[in-house]
Amino acid sequence: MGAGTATIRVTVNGRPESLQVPVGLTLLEMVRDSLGLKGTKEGCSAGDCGACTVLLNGRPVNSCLVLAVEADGHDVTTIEGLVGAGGGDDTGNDLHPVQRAFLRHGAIQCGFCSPGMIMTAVGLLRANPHPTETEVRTAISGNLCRCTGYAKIVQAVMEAGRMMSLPGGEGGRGRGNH
Amino acid sequence: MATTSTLTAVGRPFERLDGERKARGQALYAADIELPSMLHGRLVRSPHAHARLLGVDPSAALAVPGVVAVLTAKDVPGRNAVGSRGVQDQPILVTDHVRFLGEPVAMVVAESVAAATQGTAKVKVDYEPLRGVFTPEEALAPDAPALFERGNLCHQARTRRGDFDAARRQAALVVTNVYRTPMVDHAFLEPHAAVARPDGGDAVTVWVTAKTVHPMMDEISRILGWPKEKVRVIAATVGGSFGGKPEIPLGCLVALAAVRTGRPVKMVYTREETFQTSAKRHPYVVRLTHAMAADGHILGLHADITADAGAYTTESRAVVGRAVGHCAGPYYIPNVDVEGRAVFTNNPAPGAMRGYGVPQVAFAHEIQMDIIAARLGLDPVEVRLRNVLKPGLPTITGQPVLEGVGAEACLLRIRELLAAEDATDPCPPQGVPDRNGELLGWGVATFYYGNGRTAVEDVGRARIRREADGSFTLFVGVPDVGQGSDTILAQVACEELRVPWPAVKVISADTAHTLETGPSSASRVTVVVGRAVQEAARRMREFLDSGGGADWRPGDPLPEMAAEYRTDSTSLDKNGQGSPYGTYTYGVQAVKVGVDPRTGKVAVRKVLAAYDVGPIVNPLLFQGQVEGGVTGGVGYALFEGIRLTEGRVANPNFHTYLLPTALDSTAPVLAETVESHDGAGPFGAKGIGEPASIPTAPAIANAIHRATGGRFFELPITMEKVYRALRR
Repeated sequence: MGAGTATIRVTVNGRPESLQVPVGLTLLEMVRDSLGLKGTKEGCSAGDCGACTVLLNGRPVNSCLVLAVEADGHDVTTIEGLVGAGGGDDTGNDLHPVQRAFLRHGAIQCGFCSPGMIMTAVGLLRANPHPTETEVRTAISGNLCRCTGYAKIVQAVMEAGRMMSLPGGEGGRGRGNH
Repeated sequence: MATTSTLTAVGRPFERLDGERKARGQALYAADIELPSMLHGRLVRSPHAHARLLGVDPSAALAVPGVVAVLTAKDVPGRNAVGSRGVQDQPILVTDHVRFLGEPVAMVVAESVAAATQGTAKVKVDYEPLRGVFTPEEALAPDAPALFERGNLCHQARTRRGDFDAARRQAALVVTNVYRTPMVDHAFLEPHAAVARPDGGDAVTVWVTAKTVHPMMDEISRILGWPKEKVRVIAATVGGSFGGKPEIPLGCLVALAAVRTGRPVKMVYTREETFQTSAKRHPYVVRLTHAMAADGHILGLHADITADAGAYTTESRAVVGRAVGHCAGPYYIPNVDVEGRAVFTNNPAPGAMRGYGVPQVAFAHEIQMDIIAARLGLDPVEVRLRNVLKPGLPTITGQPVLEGVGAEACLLRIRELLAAEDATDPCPPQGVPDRNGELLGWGVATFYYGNGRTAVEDVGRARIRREADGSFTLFVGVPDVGQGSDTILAQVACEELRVPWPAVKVISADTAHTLETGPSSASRVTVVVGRAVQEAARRMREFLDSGGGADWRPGDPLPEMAAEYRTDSTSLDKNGQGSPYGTYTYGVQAVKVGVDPRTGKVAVRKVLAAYDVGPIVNPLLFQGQVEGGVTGGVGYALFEGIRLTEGRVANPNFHTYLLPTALDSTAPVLAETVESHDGAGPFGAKGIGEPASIPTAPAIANAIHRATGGRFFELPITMEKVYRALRR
């Protein structure tokens, strides 16, 4: 390909990808348009709303503010890559514990902020398995939600943290609930 | 009296039906739809708020690689005017007269968004700028430039009853104040988007993000000059509405572009476009005069309400029509003289937003009630109790309050809860900091809200089909805009069918499969559409109970039942008298604030609410509506506001237009319901969507007054305003 494009290798949801991308392409555009992963949402394109949050090497980023070329050689997880990652429950449900907690607590209304919100929560719980309420609120303060008023989201993240710390839960396997 | 305790589906906190799809990222919003050989649209928008359009030259844009077409007003085959509620005065592409900044003058259609964007920069447009009008006062001045031939007065509405002048003469106390509220944005997280696909040469399918699909179908068919049967409109997953969406010109434009190019077309607004050009909440100036008896009874109310309608009618008539009927609050007032008007300006046109003209007047009447209480030496709850509407008493439009309504019970319950708070956690006196250095205070606000569309017979329709496997499919014309209406209506159907949850699947808002049943707005879905669902389900159950469908064989048509429900509402006479709604939701919120005296920063510490909303269909969704509504109310009270400079939105993004974040919205919201059963909705249930938000801003204003002594008559009550008041 000509000038202005670059070849990058990224692992997306555990799958290695080799892509020829314009150097100005954002990670959000790569995920949504090049790879067709529409679960990641575009709400503002300015890093204000958090709807486009994905994990880059396990850490939440606004994918509208990251260039695809910056992800070269790195690991990207989107909402589509979350299922199965937390281990299924005894009913064979493959949802991640954070997704399950969002459903149980009614933390989803219109759902447009939900993928980004869930990715931020997963990133938080990987770094801090036992967050306080203030830590949860601080972590999601870059993810706007106009529907819920946040209370149910905060409850869901706290509960997911507790579930994941149980034996067999993601991030806490074999560690027990201490 | 029915209670939910005997019910198995209604009253249960089921997870929402679309929740798992959304949690997995599988729900398809309009911008997520991809179709083969799809084109992308971008709009050329006027940089002037008021101008004569002299000419559009697309030739340079057509030379941009990838640009397929440039559409202008000349390409509109039908009548180039759209609108809602019967007034069509807005062109989808400007013909000759630009009325607001950002109004579309041409649409560039290209192989990619990038090419379309490049193309828009190459379209040459000649304008002759005109003097604009940017406030209702300017617009009504004798020498003001007119937006329309008929002048700048968009609409006028009145409510008159009794003899206000006589009441004023008898009054022991007369209280007059002027209240101002800002334009605010819905700020749904999903920007406007639409996709159209030509189906052969003479039909089109359009996916929109919308609270309603049938009026969109009507407008597209008129724009194309096609019969309605040739236009199918489907609501994609809707990323929040709050009264906003559809953006009618957007749906028409993608349909037109698809028909002209013969290829699917998608268009997605940027956040800035959404802020600059789509509907908002109307800014109001409200002047209220209460004539009071010495014992705290309201003898009369005079109100003068002016709304900025912006550049086109959109929903301004109905918004003002609702405001003049709600501006008294839920109180019995025998003598009333109310006049409201909407005025055209060269600002972006406001439309419907959560509360539909009522949050503005509730801010005014609820601060009035607190001021009156203080002047008469009464407790704020007590003055409300002396006037609150009771069964049999008329509202200011003369509609008798239904038996079973518990507006008074809401106030009594809030009084009990506040007494308990005072016993366990009393606030220090006004102006005295607590041990954390905060000024504390509780404020209350009461409201009522008519469920359904104003002064028209509101119609709900639904259809239920029994599938071959014995399950049921419910077809309803209203989209689930995120509030959970699919789930609520399925619970009603399950209950009436007496089948276990979730044996009912829902197909909503697809003009090819669902009956017209009005919009997902006006807090009407549960009551009006819910009753139609209940009736369709009852007919299906009776059909099956009487052996219907027993001889069904594969290949036979599936058994189906449809039903229609019409509210008892009436039109209003020239004095605004009549019964404009089937029923009302009533309620009270009490809000505790903490004010930092060093900075003026206000934090909401606790929210108590009591509602007359009938039995709750789904407690999880109910609590979600209340928590979200309160949070929207906190933003409205404390910091939200579109800042306009000659029609240009100065804060068109989320780093300048701030929304409440998880760190701003930390207060527990404890919502209760009182016993109420006025029989209007299915199993007695009523609407909560808008009522959740309406009383929050005035309750906060009253709480700030209790904490600091400062009175605020204009929203938002920013930190700077509180800081200055504390220094006075």
